[in-house]
Amino acid sequence: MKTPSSPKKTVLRILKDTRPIAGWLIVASVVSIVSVALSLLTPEILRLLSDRLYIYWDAAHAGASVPFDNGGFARECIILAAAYAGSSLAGIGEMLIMNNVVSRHFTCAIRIGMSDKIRRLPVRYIDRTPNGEIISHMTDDVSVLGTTVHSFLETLISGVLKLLGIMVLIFRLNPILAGAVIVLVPLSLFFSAKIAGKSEKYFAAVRKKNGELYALTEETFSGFDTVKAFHLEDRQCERQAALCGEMRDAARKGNFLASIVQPIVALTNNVAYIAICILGGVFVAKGLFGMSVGMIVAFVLYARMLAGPLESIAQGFSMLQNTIASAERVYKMLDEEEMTEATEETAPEGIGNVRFENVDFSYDQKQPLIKGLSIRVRAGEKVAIVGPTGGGKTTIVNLLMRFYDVDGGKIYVDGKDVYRMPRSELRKAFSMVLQDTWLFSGTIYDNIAYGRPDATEEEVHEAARRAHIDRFIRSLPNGYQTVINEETTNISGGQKQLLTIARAYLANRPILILDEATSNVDTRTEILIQKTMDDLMRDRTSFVIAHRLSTIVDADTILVINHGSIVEQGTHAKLLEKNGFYAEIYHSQYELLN
Amino acid sequence: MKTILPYLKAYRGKLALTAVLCVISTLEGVFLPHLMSRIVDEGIAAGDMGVIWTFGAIMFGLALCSMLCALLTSAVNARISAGFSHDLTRGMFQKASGLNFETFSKIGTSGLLTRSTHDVMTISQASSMFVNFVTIVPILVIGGAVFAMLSDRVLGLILLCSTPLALLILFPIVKNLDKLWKLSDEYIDEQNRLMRERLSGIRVIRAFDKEAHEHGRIAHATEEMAKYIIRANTRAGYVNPICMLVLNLATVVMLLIGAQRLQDPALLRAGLTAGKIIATVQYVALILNGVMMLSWSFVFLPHLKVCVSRVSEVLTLPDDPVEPGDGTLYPGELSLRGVGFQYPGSELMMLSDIDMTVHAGETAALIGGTGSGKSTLLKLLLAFYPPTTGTISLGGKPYETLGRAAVRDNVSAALQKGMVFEGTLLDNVRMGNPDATEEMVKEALDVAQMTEFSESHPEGLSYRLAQSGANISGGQKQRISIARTIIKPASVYIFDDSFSALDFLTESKLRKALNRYLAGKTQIIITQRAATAMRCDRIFVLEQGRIVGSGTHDALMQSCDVYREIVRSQLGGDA
Repeated sequence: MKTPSSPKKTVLRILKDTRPIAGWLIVASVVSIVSVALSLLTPEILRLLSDRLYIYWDAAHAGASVPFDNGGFARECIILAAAYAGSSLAGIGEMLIMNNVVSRHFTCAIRIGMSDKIRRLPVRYIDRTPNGEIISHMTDDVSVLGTTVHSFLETLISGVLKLLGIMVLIFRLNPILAGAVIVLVPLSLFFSAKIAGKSEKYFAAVRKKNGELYALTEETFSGFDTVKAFHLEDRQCERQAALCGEMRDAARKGNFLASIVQPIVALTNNVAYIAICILGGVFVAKGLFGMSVGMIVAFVLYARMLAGPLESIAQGFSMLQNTIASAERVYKMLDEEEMTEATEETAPEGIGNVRFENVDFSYDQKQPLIKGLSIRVRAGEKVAIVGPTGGGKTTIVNLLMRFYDVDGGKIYVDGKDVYRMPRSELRKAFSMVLQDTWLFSGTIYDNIAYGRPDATEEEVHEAARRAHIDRFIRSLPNGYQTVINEETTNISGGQKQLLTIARAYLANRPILILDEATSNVDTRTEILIQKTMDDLMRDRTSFVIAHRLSTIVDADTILVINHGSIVEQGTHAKLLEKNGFYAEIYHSQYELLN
Repeated sequence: MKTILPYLKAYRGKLALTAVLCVISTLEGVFLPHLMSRIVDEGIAAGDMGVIWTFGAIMFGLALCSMLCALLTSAVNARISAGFSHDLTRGMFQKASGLNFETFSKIGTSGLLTRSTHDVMTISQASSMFVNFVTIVPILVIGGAVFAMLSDRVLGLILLCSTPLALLILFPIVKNLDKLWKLSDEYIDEQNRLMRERLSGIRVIRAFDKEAHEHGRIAHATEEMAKYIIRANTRAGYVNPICMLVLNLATVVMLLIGAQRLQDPALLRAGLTAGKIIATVQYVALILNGVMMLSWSFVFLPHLKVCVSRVSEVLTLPDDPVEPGDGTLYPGELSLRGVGFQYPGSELMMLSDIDMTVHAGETAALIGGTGSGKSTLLKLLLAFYPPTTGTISLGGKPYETLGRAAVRDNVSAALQKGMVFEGTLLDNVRMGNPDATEEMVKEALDVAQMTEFSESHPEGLSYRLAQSGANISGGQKQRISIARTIIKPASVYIFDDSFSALDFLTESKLRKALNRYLAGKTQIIITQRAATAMRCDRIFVLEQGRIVGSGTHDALMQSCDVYREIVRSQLGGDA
């Protein structure tokens, strides 16, 4: 709702999105016409039946002896029963189509579309957008959208049909009574739409407060130890109480407004009912307009039938704002700019030469990070990237792997411009072991074979052996078939790291990226990991991001990064000699000792 | 239910009022068809305009009265549900914050979170619906049937019988609905979990070109979820048409039998009229509403029951709040004698035979790998849990005599996670000492090497930190919690892995400043880094829950294999 025209655009977009299911919507409409037509027929039959009963009784209780046409009455009853049954069955048919086609199209298909979209979105989008937000678009927003579209289309198809049908029929029966009904009907619509709009304002406030309340509760519970250690219970309780109070006040008003819609609609319906009884009664008694008791019955039933579609329209109004907001978020994600892929070149040959030529890069236009960076790395060399926390060491990885694209300059792998080949081809040259050990929920075997699903069992075991994790895996009750998931507790952080190393081993790519792979690991595992990694780096070009300088003193090139830019570059000896920033960092770790 | 009822008790007057109002407003619906039948029988048939207008006026009066009652009901209900929700939400939160660690961890963070948000919400939404429901449904069903009986006993009976028939047919349809919904919920969780996994591993996934594979896994979960949701919605979708069909067919039967009875002269003499038969047909619509509401309760109640039992589970946990202490400071000497610990319900000894003493004014380090028991020991030092065996004492006084409040007044700790709360930077530091002046806060931030951060933002100390510190880095969170820890007046300061996200240069500066700021106070530094531990007065080496060595760096290098190994692996052979 940033611009006034966008709600309209969003509604149009939703309508346009029904195109793939247009065929089914037509079928649903046809079924719906049958259902509505049959249900509109029933008051007509009841009219005939009521008239038969009334005329017979009117004569009989006055003492006259008139025959009752039992055969005709029974025939009409059978037609009535058939109309009821037919209308219900067609209604069920429509419900089935709506559930299976519309709901599926607007929830399941959109969700899968969003998941598919992520494949084509740049890493930048995923880095920038909190994961929870993406997930909530995919679940909550889509669910709101699906529910509303479902009831919206249903109302559009059968509700409108019903409204029109009733109008025509009651006018044919008696224009004066019909006039009374039709004056009262829009009145209730007008009131309920008006009130719904007002209550939505309060509900928006309730949702906002509820979000804050959720966040506060989450914060308090997840930081329970800090809360206890600093006696913050009272503080958090006070804040929670204040939020609760604000939420109560808004909820009270919103609930009230929302719940008075029903009585107001009921009153107008009742007034219509009464008007029909009085006017109809007078007409029949005076013999005006050919009015009969059966017509009064039919009118009463038609007036009641009007309530259904009207209520769903009123409800639609109250949900509209919320739905549009959700739809906008969903469409915004689906419309995000996608990555473009070049295909002029194929994968690098697999030698391992890397060259940066005059590379400029920034995450944020306002803050240039890397300017004119040139590096040349020959196959088999080890490049170390060091610098303080948050200084931008991972930027180099982001550029190498094309998680982010450079603003200017060129990057070559094995002499090929990486911007002239598909990203997936470029990435075939790399293996990565990152600080956050990422394993997916699945078996250990599948996790190791992740980069090479075609690997033989022997190769997978060999990779595990090289990563010093084979014995451990075999000690598990299910061995290689052990499933790793969120609840996995019998595998330590270090062992998970070794699994990612085995994965990198098996993938067997010419260039290796190691990003602080040994932090947060206990000593013994660390020794193991260090040994395995030295093994892994042999004969490969490697980029190592390290916290601990002892592991990288033998690097062919050390890039020192601070505040996002490369401040120094050279071998360990040369950099120490220079006595600059690197020397300061290097000495600081020993300074702690003295 | 027993635990929830007290919360409703505060509203019993209002609840009674809304029940009465509800009865009045619903009765009108039952009366209208009756009045209509009298218009037909006494007005139209007799050609008496007066009767028509009189009954018409009565109907109008009833309709107005009903609306007024309904409006009042809305007002009262809005108060009840908003108030009840407010009370229950607050009650749950207060309860949860008064729990001790043992009970807290029994339910867990995410469990408590759903219980105090989603579950409470569901219950309070249901509460007001439920009140209307228990009053409206019987009136509609019983009132409708009674009035139908008054018109004609046989027709009323048919109507009365058709209600259980409809319910009987519906019951098997809605019976397993909650199971389907539960299944679909499980797939929603699965889809979200896979999505979270994918988003967090996006780099690895792309590096191995596995996006298609991950997308396939998610799409599968989404398909399964849709399958169950559609199945559940379809079942629910049968409720209305089937209800209507059963009751409508009952109408047809009533009409057929009604016509036969009308031809019976005896009944005619007894007062059966066409108007009465026509009115009974209208009662069908009333009962239909009641039956549909009832069948929805079959769907909703099992879900509500789950929520109620989960909320009750929390509300019945024993309270164990810690009142703030008086702030008396004891000498900062900590000593542990034969301390052993196992988590309640666990068979594994996390700590055993811990004997250690840290003298007042010393800086001690506790070093060990992951899972060695360092953080567990900290929990005992903060009196989050009592030790299973042995005693801990501060300044010569055992923890049991001091009490948890006094312990936490004396021991100030920066916890591993580096927790910050929504609020300003100033607020977050002041949590350690509510009486601290801005100058004191600035000084503490300066010691924590956060001055550069606070000065880089124009708001300075008023810079707002987002919920859980989403707008700052992990290292910054750690340093804010360090500032909070040191500004608290205490005798022992503990830093649990608080420097892990800092580079050596920053750590070195911070430690120097810390030693100046906390001069004379006891410091305990828990770490995995040898470089961090080395310079401390005394180092305790923890492995698998036991102390395997203690002393200075030089002494440990001579005597402790584990320590030597740690140092070698981290600093290379030359250190």
